[in-house]
Amino acid sequence: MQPHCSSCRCLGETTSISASSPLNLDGRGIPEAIRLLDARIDVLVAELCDLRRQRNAHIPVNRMPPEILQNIFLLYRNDFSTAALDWTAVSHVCLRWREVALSNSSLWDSPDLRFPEWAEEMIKRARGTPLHVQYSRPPPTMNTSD
Amino acid sequence: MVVLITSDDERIVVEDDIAKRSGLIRDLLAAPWDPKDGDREYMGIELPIVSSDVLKKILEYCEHHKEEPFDDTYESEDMFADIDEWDLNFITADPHMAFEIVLAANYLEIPPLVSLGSKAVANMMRGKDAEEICDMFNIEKDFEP
Repeated sequence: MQPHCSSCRCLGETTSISASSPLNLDGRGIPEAIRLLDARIDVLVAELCDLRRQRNAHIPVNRMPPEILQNIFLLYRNDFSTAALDWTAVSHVCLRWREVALSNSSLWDSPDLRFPEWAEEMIKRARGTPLHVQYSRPPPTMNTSD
Repeated sequence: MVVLITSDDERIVVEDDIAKRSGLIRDLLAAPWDPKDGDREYMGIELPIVSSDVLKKILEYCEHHKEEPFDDTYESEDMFADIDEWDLNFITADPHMAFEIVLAANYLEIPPLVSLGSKAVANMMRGKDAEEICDMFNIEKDFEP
């Protein structure tokens, strides 16, 4: 049994192989070959993400300090009056934006109870911040049976 | 008068009242000065992370608002609820410059200008999803949520 890397599925031997050199999979079964290739893909994807993070750090908007980005996110969120969860797009832009968004508990203080799973997650992210909850009473229905 | 020295070594002479719109410069001017260190006006104030073109834009804003009371509030609730037309034209004229203005205004401690710039950036993002925001700001997706 070959040892696994603790942080991903890769085998130690695969991490030093460059992207351009094909793996020598002679004599290995199909499941083992796929596992080795998956491991190599994981390593390359992680490296790619790291390079993109370094690149993103130079983008003007990402030179903003976190407190300013947080304020921008609040303004963006407050602009969404109807599409309740669309503003969470700010947490899907890049890792820095996600970290800034998740570190700001007040950004998550208005859970939309129409989406219970999301509401639960937002309450967790609000980390005890006082919540703002809106309730709209449904319009009365006409009783036509009389 | 105050002499401000920019990151590209330009010396810009500014009236005190305009320069003091910046909390940083206000504090520096209020600090004790030893004449043995030279003539204060001649020595100037170095602003190593502010370029001359950005500083000139910021001074234009400070000149326009020099009669107003100081405002130390950074936070704002609504995107364009309380922005006058001059400010709106000033900050939206050049989107790239808006980023630079926010960064420099934050360094110079000019809260209303930081707030104005933040609103401009938020407005650029208005109604856009994550992918569109990435495209607009030239950000590469670097993680899987």
